[in-house]
Amino acid sequence: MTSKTSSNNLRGELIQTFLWELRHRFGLIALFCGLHFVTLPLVEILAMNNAQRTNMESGYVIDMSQRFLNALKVVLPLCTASLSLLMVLILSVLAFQYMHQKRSVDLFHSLPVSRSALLGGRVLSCFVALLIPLVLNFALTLVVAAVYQVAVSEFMGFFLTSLGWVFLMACASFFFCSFMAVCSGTTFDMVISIVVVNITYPLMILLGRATAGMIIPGMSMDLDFQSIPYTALSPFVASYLPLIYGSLEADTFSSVAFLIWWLILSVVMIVSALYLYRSRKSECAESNYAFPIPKTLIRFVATTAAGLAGALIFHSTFGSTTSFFVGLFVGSIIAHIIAEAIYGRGFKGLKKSFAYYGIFLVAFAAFYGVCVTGAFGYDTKIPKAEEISYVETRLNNVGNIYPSNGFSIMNEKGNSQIAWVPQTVREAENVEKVTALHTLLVDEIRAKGYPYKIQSSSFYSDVQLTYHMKDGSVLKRYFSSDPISHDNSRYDEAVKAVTTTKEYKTSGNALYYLTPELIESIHLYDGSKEHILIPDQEKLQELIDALRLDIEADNGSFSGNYDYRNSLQLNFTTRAVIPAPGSELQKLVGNYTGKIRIDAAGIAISDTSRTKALIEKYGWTKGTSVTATAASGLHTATTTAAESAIRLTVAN
Amino acid sequence: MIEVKSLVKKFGSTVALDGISFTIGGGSIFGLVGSNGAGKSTLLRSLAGIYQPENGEILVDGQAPFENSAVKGKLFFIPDYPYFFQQSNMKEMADFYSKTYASWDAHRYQELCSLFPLDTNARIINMSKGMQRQVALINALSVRPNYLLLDEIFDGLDPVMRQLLKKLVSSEVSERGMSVVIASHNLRELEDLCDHVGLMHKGGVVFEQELDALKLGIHRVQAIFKPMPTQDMFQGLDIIKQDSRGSLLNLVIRGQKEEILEKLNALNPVFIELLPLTLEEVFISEMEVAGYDIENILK
Repeated sequence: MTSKTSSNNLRGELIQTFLWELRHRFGLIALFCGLHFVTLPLVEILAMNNAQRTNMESGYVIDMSQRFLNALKVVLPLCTASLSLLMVLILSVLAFQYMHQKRSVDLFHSLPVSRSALLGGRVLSCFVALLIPLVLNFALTLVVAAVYQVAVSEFMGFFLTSLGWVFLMACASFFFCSFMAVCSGTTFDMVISIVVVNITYPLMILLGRATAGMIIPGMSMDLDFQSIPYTALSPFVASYLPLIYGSLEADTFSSVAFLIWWLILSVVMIVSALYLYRSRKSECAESNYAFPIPKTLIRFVATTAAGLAGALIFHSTFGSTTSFFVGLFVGSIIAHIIAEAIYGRGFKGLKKSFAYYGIFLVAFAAFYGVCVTGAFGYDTKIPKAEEISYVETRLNNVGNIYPSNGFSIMNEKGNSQIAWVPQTVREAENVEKVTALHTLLVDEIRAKGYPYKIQSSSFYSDVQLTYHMKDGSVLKRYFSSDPISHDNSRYDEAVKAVTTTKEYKTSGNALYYLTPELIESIHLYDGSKEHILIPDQEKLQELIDALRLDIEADNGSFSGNYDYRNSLQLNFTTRAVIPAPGSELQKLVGNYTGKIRIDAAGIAISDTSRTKALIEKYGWTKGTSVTATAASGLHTATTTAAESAIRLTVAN
Repeated sequence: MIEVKSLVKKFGSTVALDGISFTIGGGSIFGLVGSNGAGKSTLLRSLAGIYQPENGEILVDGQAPFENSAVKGKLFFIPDYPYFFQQSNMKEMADFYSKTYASWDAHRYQELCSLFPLDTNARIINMSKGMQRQVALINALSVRPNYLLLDEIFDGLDPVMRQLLKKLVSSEVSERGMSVVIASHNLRELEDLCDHVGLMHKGGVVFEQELDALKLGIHRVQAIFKPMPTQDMFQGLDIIKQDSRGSLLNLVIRGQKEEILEKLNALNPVFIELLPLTLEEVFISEMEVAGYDIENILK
């Protein structure tokens, strides 16, 4: 059989199909233009009017630009992305259902139009159909911004990046749907496949990571959902992540790898769809599938996700390894049977399908085997101290606490992070103490039982070590010390050796970067009421010095079980400043020239004699707090900016 | 010209077309007959470039139709259940075809619309089965195809419309040299329309012949012999079917009329009559030969 594809008219056929399809999508385009208008420009109009009214009626000064941006940040993931994805799903059904019905296949595949043009023209028309409502409404939103005299330039980068991201992911989702359409026999299967993959794939990865984290020491959950594996095959879910996590910053996209992945996968999916469609058998219409890839993949993913979910639910309920496996079997077998019932239209092929269930069992056995034996040395890998540049060290709930755990340097408005200052250990002697602690943890956990057994939740970790190697690589190990820390003096000593170093106490501790001019006010809570203080610069410096001395003098005896009623909590509200040239802060922000704020949370100090003496000396807890009017005025001032602050708990 | 060479089409493990070969010349009307599931519709879809054969070759004017827009531009296929866009009317379908086929003839479309009693603004989905076929035929003939492939086109058409269809198709064949392939179980209509017939059974072609030659090459004979000759006395005759009622012997014999009469007269029949077969009778006879268990089916 000689097969020949006419390329002479491909362009003409493509244009013809594109125009015909686009003409038939005008109704849908108009509908979504309206829906996007209601959920974007109209919401902004309402938000702006509300802000104007509040400004006039209450006297509060609401930053219109900030209000505009805040509304945008809510609306983009909630409405704009959702509407675009809904449109993708509807367009996919409308554009591709022809290849799932024998009668329509008879028509379209007998036309003098090549399959490349047939599919390509449809894809292009849907591409334009998706773009029109977005561009139109983003443009209208800019008009709204101009009408309300919002400083558009402040968020233009975010605005355009968001438009680009929503459109890119709408396209990626549509290409994903195109691929599924070509591989599916019916539109029902196509929709089911799209929905199931998008839900179960991230779930499978999440639960797989959780399970691995519960078995392999050091591999606790790292809930970085923006890392590629979590949503690698789930464009619908991935669409929301940068919008929700706010990683679409002013001019750049913070997760470049994530962006590149979706660009590449979009191209791969549409090219695959076009390639497969050319060899798709027309007779596959109305059958179970045209190409078995998605069916096999979906069955595996759904079975695995449900199996792991069942395993973790049973394990969390009954707590034994046996319950883990019972849950795994129950969840996976139910998912497998449901998947077979849906794709096989009944249970006729159920018996045969268990061969695929066998694949899952083998895959899980391999996965479990790798985990309990330490994932090819993952558990025992401890970098050599001389190869380490520095270690981000977070030791929580380990006796004494200086968990400043780093702090953020924010922009003037407090809505964008300029730099993150982690709690680090750099000095060779201290780095060795960290690796010694790591070694002790690994040895003790391994001695407790090897091959490893499944432990409690992997979401909790109290020893977090992030090694930054001299060669630029990063090694993360997150442990829960629970299995070995009780009445373990060797472990306590190893921890204390790290936590009592000056470097550990001071690095990543906002107090060591704080200067009086950065402090706007102090909220002091003495266990019964809150005092708002605005001390003069000298007193502020005295307070900072006292806190620093208390920290450095600490001997690591803090139990962590302080009485909140008798404790002092200090909340420094910071103001935006341009860091002094040559200062530590200036070094940290690098080339950033704007005003900055410091934002830190959860600093606790055990030995606070100097600080308390100072507080008592100035009577800050005995009626010298600012008046209600002054406090109100202070509050008014801070509502226009983000609540950047440094919070300290000073135990008695 | 359509050439089919050793064509094989499989659906999973089912062989729908099992190495069939035949040729359809230009300007002819080729009737495809055969049992249910014989592969007629599969063959038409393969000819239309919808199905890609697993093996063998289909050549339409020397080119394979699968994924070949140039060839498909010369073809028009009306399936057994024609498809129309949801909520579309005749005008919208005509608009679609006019943009898809370079050979679309708007004038011819208007002519044909005036011949058929159809409302061009009515939704096609609301039309009867026969009316939908009329719509499909109007579009097909307006495209002015060189090759028209029709699957069960007579189904649902009233007698008047069947006559109109036959008239229109015949005139296109005679005026433009259009070739037509019609798959149908309506042998009476095919007999009127076709000049060639191909009989299919279980994915194979039992025969493919000019209709007149086919009808002239097979005969029903009614004869009375006294005494009845023994079976070996009929040697030399290609008897397809034989049954007797008393002394009346019914025979279906393949061969030339004169030759058959000569051999039978040599057996001194009391009475002998030789009748031409209708296409339906030829079909049934040949299908029996091909192993179609008609007797059991009709019991």
